[in-house]
Amino acid sequence: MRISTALFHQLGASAILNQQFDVAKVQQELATGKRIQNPSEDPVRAARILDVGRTLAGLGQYDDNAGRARDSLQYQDSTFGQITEIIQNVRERTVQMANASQSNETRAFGANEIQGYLNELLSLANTTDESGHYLFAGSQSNTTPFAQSGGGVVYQGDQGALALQVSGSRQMPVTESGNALFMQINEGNGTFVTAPGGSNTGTGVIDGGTVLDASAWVADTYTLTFTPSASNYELRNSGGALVTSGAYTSGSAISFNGVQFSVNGAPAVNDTFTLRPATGQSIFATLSGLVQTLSTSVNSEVGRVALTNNINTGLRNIDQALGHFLTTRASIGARWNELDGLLSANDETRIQFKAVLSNLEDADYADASTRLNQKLLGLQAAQQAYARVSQLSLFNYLN
Amino acid sequence: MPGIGGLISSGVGGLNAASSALQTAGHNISNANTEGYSRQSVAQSARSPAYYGGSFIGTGVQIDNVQRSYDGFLQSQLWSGTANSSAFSMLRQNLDQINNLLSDPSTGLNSAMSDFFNGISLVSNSPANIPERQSLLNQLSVLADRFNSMGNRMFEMEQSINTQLNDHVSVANTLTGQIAEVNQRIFELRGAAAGEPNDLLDQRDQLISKLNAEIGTLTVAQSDGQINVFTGNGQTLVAGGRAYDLTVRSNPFDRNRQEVAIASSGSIISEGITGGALGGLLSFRDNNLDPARNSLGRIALSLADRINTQQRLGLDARGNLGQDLVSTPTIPVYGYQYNGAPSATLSASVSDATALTTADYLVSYDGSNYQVTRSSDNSVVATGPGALSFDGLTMAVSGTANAGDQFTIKPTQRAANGFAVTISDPTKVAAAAPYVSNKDSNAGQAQISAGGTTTTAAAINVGSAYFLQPLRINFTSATTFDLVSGATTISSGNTYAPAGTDITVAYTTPAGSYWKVNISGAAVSGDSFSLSKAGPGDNRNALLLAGIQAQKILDSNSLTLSDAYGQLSTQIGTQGQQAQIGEKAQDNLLLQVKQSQQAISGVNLDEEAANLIRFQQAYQAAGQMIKMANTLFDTILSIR
Repeated sequence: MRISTALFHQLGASAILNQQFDVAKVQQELATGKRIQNPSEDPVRAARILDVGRTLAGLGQYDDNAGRARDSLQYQDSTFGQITEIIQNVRERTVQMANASQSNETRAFGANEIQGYLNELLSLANTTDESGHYLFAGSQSNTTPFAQSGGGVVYQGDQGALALQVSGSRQMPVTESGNALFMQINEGNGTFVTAPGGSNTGTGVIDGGTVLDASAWVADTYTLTFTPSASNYELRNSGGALVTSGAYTSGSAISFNGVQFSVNGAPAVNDTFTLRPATGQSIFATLSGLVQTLSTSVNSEVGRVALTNNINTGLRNIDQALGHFLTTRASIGARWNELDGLLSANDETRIQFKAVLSNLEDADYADASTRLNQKLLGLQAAQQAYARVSQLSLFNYLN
Repeated sequence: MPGIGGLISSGVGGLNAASSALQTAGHNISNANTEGYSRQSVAQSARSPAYYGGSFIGTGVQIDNVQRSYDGFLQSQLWSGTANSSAFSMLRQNLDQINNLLSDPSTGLNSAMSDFFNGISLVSNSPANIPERQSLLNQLSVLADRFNSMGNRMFEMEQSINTQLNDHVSVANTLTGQIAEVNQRIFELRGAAAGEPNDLLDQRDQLISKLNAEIGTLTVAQSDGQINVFTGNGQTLVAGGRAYDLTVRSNPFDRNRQEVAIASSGSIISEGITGGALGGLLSFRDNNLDPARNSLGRIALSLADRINTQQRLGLDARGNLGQDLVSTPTIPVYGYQYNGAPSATLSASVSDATALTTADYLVSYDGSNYQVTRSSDNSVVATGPGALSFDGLTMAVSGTANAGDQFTIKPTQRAANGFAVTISDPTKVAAAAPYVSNKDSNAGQAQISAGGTTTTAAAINVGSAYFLQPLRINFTSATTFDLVSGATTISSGNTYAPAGTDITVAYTTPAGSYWKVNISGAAVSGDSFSLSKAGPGDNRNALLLAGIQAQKILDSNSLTLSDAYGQLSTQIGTQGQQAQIGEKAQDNLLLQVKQSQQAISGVNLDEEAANLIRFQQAYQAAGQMIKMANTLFDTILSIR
């Protein structure tokens, strides 16, 4: 076969060019540390790199959100810690005040102290986050959520809750509305509230009562009246229908509709006590109720009984509040745990995906340098071969 | 002429033959590096013998002709190989550009898109904070820039293709002119002599090779030695001594793009062109650039639509309904250049971003109905007299079209270029949902849901006049409730089903959207719930905005926006890879054909050197023959 001289030179040159191209490619791979420089070199690999990169970016985003959620929960937890402490102090002081040895003066001091706690509580409920937005105002984060109005505290926020996207499928609530936290604490024993009638003249003191069978409870307002004599009672519902009646013995349980309570002491004839379904009560109302109770002077036996009844009511509500904040903190703790779990799972996933990405994307230096040597050898061989063969010509021998 | 005279005559013939052969070898050596040159050789034969004394005596050598070593089949392979190789090389070069555009982290869309959604996520973490909102708007600007620069780059590529078409067409025109000229000269010269004008034939072959690098051709050899050249689909480029020029002219629909046409008739032949630089450019534009641009446009259009739709359903930091965050340009509708006048004006808008395709649409009017044909599969997607809906688009018509009028709609063509941010005030990011559901301290167990948007009104619906007004739901019994806004009772005695009752409030805008809450559980008379306008601390709409990133919204809910971008870059990557492989394969094929062709037609200098020696010796031998004849004469003359 004839080798055309022009083509021979052309082929020799293009062989060298091809080898140079290969060398340059490996060199680029080594220089950038990336296995592929352009998707067209390996479209499937490029697509996987894009995919894994996106997943990693997503993980980073969820990490940010979860970190932010954890900060927020931590901040709230410390706030609730302070609140619990205050309520505990109030409880201690109230128990002290229930002691018969307290005088009107010492009770007034107690009332002052509790008023101080109330103010402290109010400022904690109006806590702001690091950028000045109220934590417990629901969605109205620019509005002071708790304001004093007409002797009471009103909630000006709403019941919105902030939830953060902490994983692809989980929106975690990180704030609760101040309404649920401070304004809607169950009162009494959680199911019903007992109270003495306003015009009682006897010394009957009612306890908080207990629920025996929640399914038998019929929510309604019941009135216990000592009639026709102080040793007999009748219990009627709000419609006036007789529910139960019997002979009164101090301290013995009166049961009906799955609940029971007892009255101690000596009620007078026509004295009344009421039972009504528990609703939400604000912690501020509970405290200011106590302040009012303690600052009222007691000068009679009837007044003393009313005081005892009121302090008992207050204590029951405080216990409910303590339980309420404890539950809230437990729920924060649970979410915190969940976040820790999520974050460490994310970390593991990230490590895995990074490994995958590195496998896909990063140049294998050992392999690449071997290939570089091979290609250089090839280039050298091509150059030498061309240089030697091209020198051969019959014309060299013509003379 | 027998005898000594014959010897001399033979010698002279030999001298002539050898010197012609030497000259031809010299010609070969001189043209060893001439592109397209075919090796020539002298064909010689023995002269007719002389009859003398009952025998035939040889009379020496004669030159028949000078012929070129040539294989017509290999030559035509070389032409088509050149056309294919040139087309693939053009395709590969252009695809490389898009590939770089899509994959470069500093120009690609991926990081900008995830940064943007990350920005939304940060706003949802602290909805009332202005810095996060500002940063989101910055991210959005970056995203818009990215869309714009990619879209513009693709438009520039289209413009550059226009210029390149023009350049290649003028080169092709020069070449066809030269081919016609050479054809003519070959015709004339062949008439004059018996031999072939080899060097002109080579020259013409080489010109046709060059022409094939511009545009793929078919050739038909004529009996008079001329070659006629046609485009792949039969348009004449050269007929004998006459060339037919090509030209470029605007596409009759989209005036921004140029097409290749026959200069004399003006008819567009772009679609029939395969091979050569022109074929490569046109194929790149139709099969790669347009789909890539449309895919990118669809991502921009869908993203804009989803963000804006969600934005309109929420409240901004000032408590106003959200406005559009971004805008995309009007969908281009191109009327056919030859539509009757006056014709109708068509417009199109997105009605459902999830149903969008990357196709273009041809609309034709038959005098009573418009018919819409999708370009990707040529299927008719809608027919009707006026406004039509198809593939997530709504087409509106104003004016009256003439029968036979045509239009093209390119819904996604310009979306990436014109993707723009329309707000600069960070408070206008609608992070909040419109309403917060509140439960009062109720005796009953009924609960109210947080609520969400819907497109269907519930049986109990509050008119849009009350939208964003505080609403109260007051239970008048366990199974009835009143709806109250301030002092106004909107409706009373609504039936309550403890299994769950929906209440909707109509948005003022967008029409057809409702805020829906659900109340369920046992209620008692006196229970109440309220809906209050959400404050700046609400992030529910921001969460929904952020959720768009993970939503499979494209291609009948099978692709997220980033998936679609990944698909686009994989698609272009694969096309680039195919073009690379194709280019390499074509180059190898071309090289093989060239080697075969050169084995026949190429000049080998060693061979020519050997020939020089051979013919030199022949020349010397013939010279010796004459010397010998001279000696013989002398011998005879000396006989006395």
